Amino acid sequence: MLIKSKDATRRGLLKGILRGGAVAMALPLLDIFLDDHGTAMAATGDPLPTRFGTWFWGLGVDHEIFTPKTVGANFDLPPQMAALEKVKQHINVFTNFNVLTDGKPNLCHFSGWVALRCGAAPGARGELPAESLDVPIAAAMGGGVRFRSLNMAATGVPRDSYSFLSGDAINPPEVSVVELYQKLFGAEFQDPNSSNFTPDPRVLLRQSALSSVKDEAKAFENMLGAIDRQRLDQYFTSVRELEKRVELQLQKPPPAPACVMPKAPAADLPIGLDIELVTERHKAMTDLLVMALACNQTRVFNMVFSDSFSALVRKGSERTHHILTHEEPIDPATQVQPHASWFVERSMEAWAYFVEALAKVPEGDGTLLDHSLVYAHSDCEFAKVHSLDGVPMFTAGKLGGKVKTGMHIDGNGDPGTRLGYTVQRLMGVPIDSWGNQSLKTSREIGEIVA
Amino acid sequence: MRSGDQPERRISRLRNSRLYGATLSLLIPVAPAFSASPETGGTIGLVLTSWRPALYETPGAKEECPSGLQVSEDIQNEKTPGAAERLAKFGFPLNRGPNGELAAYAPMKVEDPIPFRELQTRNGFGLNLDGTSDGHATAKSCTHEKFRTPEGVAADNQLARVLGCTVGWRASGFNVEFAAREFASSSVNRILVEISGVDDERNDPDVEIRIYKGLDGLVATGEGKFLPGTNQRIDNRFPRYMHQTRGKIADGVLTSDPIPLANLPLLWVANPGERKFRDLQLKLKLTDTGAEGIVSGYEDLRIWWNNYSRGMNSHGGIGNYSSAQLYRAAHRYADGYPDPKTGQCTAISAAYKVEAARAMIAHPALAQPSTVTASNDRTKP
Amino acid sequence: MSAPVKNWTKPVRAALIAFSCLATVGATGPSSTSGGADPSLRLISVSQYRNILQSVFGADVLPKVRFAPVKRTDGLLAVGSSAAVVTPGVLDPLDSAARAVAERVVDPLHRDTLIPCKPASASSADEACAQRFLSRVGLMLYRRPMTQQELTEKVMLAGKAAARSKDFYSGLATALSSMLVSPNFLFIRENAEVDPARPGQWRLDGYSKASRLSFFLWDSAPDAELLTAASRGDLHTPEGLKRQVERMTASPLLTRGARAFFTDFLALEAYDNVAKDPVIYPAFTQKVAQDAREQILRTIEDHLITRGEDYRDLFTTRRIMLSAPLAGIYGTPLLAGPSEWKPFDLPADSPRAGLLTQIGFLAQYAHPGRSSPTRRGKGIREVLLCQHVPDPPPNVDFSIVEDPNAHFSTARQRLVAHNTDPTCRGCHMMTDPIGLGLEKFDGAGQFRATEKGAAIDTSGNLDGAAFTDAIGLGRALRDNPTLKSCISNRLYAFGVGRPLTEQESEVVEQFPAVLDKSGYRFKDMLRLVIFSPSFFAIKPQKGPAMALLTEQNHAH
Repeated sequence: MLIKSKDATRRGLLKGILRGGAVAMALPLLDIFLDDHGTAMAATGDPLPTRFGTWFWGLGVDHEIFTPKTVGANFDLPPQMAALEKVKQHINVFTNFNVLTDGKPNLCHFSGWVALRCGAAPGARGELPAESLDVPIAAAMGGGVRFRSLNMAATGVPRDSYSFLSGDAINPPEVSVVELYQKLFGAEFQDPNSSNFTPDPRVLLRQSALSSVKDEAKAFENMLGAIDRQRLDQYFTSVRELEKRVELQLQKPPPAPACVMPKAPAADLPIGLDIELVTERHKAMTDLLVMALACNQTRVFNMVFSDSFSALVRKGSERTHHILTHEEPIDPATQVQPHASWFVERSMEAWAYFVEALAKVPEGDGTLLDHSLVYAHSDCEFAKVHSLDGVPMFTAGKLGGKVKTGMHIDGNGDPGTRLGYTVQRLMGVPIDSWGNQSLKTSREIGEIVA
Repeated sequence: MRSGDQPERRISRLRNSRLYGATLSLLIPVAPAFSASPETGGTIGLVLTSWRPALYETPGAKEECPSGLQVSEDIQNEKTPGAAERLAKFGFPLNRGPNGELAAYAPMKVEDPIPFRELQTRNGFGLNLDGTSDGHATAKSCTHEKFRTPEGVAADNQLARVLGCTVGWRASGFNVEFAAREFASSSVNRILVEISGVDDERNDPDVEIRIYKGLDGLVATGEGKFLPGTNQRIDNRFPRYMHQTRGKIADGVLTSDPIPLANLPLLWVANPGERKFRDLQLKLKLTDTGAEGIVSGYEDLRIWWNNYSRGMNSHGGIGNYSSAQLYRAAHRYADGYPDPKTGQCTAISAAYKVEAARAMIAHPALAQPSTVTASNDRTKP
Repeated sequence: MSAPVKNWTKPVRAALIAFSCLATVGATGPSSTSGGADPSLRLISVSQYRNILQSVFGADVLPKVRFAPVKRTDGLLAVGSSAAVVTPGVLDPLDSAARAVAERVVDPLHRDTLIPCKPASASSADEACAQRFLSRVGLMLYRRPMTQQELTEKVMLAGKAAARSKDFYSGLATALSSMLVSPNFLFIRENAEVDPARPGQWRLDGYSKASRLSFFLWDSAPDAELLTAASRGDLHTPEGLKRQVERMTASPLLTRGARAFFTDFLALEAYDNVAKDPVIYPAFTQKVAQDAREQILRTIEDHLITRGEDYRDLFTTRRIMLSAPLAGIYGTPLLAGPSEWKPFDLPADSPRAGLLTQIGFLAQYAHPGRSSPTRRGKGIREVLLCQHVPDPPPNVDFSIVEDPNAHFSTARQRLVAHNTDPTCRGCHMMTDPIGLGLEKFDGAGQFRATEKGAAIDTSGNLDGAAFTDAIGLGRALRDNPTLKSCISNRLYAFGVGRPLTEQESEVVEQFPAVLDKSGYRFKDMLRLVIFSPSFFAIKPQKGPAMALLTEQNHAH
């Protein structure tokens, strides 16, 4: 059923349907909301929203069983990527891209991810030389959603975040499934598909409170020296963002056909880095994230599956993933460390779950994933030696047709920042180069650009 | 000497045995273990974590209950003529006596049409309480049949004949599971066993055994298991639940001398009560993390019945038995301490399967093991 | 000198007198302008946030709030707070918390006790009552009287919101919630003013001094008495300052300050994520992990505050605080309920003594499934001795350790083999000889005599001091001179909440000379920090805006 006219009748019908319980009718609704081609919102003519996210796993891969033998489309899936079979058509895999440190030390499990996130290699541990690429991307994508970005750490550790403005301003991750649910779908959540919209009168009070805070902050700023003024600027930015979000609450949210408010989690998962537990938390967070995207709560997200020093552990084992990468002998027959490699396989399973979760949500002429771009990477290639050559990277999603997928790209030793640059360009960040020193690049990875 | 005085030395041994056994290798889960120090002698503290009637069960109850399992009181009532009239008159289906008496309170006022299913097997669990091999009457027992334990020992456990064909008390039955859960969750049931003067945990011809009521909770680790080594304080308010006897350990199995009279608090399917045992004995196989075995004695019949019959027992779907039959069966099978006048035995041999976790038993400053009920033999060499 | 000074330890008293001379010289001497720091701007910490709200409104209005992690700088989060910024991710939870607190304060359950007046009508604005409440609350939250302009604005905000919502109380909540996300509350801003007593010199204003003292000693905002002292200028006089410091260090709230310092100094926030493998260490439950962290603070509290012992003896003391869940791991019964804490004297033959043998420390610096002499050694070096252990080189050769035929039973065997590689050896020599002293405690902090059936050799060496076991290691650490300079530095930096200036480092270098005589008693250390000539010293400031602060029109 396609209703093409944009008249009052359609709106009436819409109302009627929504009153009748929209949740069970996601698919027919989909058609109603979209234009003929299924590529734009019928009500506004706006293109479907795009999304950007990052996904991180620690401790790299095993070259011998990870790197596909063939490049380009229809690449082979070596054993360590077996879990990605189901999502192969949605992803690109990037190998043989390097992180160069220009004589700075290779800070184990640190230099690699810092460079791939912010384009510059750190000089010392804890140093984050520039903002992570999700920050300018979120800025370029603008507002219109409640949360500029959503950060999650499946490890449950509050320090596990790879999104930052600087070393002093790391964007904190959500570490609790219950708290994440509350943040997204708690009292302030406005169901975009709800038929009646009455703005909470308290929103107006909140606006006046925030306005008063800004006035106060101005007077406060006058008392500060130059450096602290910069710090206060960040505070201002944060208040303004909060204001925008409050403003949103006064408007009826645009309909989101695939949005179904998830069930509240009964209880939080216990603390710990047992891989089963982390996988469970990753799934729960992913499911909430997917719905947050479908419900237009955010457009940018950062997910950490395991941290770069990953202490993920198997029940009953003395050795964590990280210890195994250093202490487990390499099996001469397979050229891998079998137990360490087991963790990489689990990481790939989690990555597959993540991609599939996005691909399961129908949206317009495709899926949520088709309108998204996810940038995934690790901190090194072979963790045993902390190699910065060939740090594995992925993308997932077609970004509304702007990105080609299903390919294996061999970087020929090019700087890994090429992908970060490409991703930012695709997301509309107005830059003509990215990175510094040897990591500076202005070359997109043309193979994936449609 | 108590383990508490040598905590680290004791712990040191348990780490050895536990973590770094010869078979330990990468990724193979290793089992936890606790053990007392043989060199210095010491104490084994235990907290009971499970307490269930010791029943012999075969699949489908074919061997032990060939005529089937007990039927519920609802069915007995339906099969008793005049059910509709009684319901109209008294308002509740189980008001079955001539004047609407409840069978749980007035079991002899109620007659059941469907007969009691008798336990038929000779196999069973328990301890030999009367000292006989054939169950003939003695000064403190009535004639009864003995079970044969898997070890081939003649054992007394007449309670098994009362409960053995009742679905609620058989494995996974409602009553037994409910009781197991509340046994672990309520500190009313916290029974501590302290074995002291232990020179060798595998073999020691003479050890002291004390029983206390505890105060603290258990730490569940899932699947009905509990963390060993938790701190358990003695509930000093109840000297009447402190008992003492001696015993021996042979091949890791503790056997106690009988405690002539022992009261124990038990919350039992939502009924708190003070159960009374004569000749209470323990036979526990000691493990690194705890113990399992049998606690058995002549259980005071009147108290047992009062504690047992209250609450949600005989309903269909829950207990699946008849109170009237149960009461009669219990008295018929009672085999201990005959009433000098009537000859009716006033106690029933009862064996319970228990599990225990090792525990650190904390003694209050004024802890005084009771001599209220037992004629303790502390002077024994 | 005022009376309380008599209670001070003699060397400290002497040192403080010497310090005061130093200060005088500094103030008039030619080098005086090079001393002092800029006023700082610190982001409030989660415990400070909670403590302030609790003291102003009571514990039952406290919301559950998670603060974003701050970058640990010079070993302290408190120092990192002077560079921390408020990103949206930081402000978000604070904003939710602010509204939750404000709603609770004005709800029918709390309003009568927390709001000192009743509005003429509950359904409309009441300027007088709003002003009474907001000025009182503002004084506590902003740690100074609100300016007339600030107060007027908030009262107007409350009035407008009350009119809009037709509810006096929701108007009040609106104003309160805005104050709770205000930079005046969330940032501890220090103000400099011209020192009228010393022409050309600047000083912190009285309220800034009050905040410094109270956040340092109480981990919270100044109380009414301290604010009054600040308003009278008492904190600019040695006697007035001493009176307040004596009062504050005698207060039970000092415990809170000590806990805050040691939580930061020992990096205890990381302990919140300690979890052990349940198969290998079944006894290390979540409750044990929580109590293990708390045990460290309780033991410190008992040792330093309750009994006034020497900090160094913390590493040798046999007196610990114990809870029932921990008793299992310590292998001793304890007459304590599930959430009770009891002092406990480890028996003379116990292999444990001192902080290093507490299971919190042992478990934190270990892996989920096994111990780690390297981590433990690194923890001691970096946390307790303020030293830096370099990262391992990226291309470490583990081939010897990996050899499946080698059959290493103990960590020492593994590490000795590993350290035949000279590139590894350098750093491991900094950590392992220390950490191996604790090898008789497994990854969960439980005692063991052997590892995989092999005897454990716990002998080692800390900067030249040989030891044979964990107790000996504790003794060696106790007597290590770096232990003293480390705590002195960290305590000072925690007090000022920013990196030390050069002048300050020089001042702190003199602490051990004094404390070696008096003993490293916590209160003496605090006094040395607070009364050191540099503690409140401020660099001359540029610009008229700062000078105007002294003329700021404070509302009353």
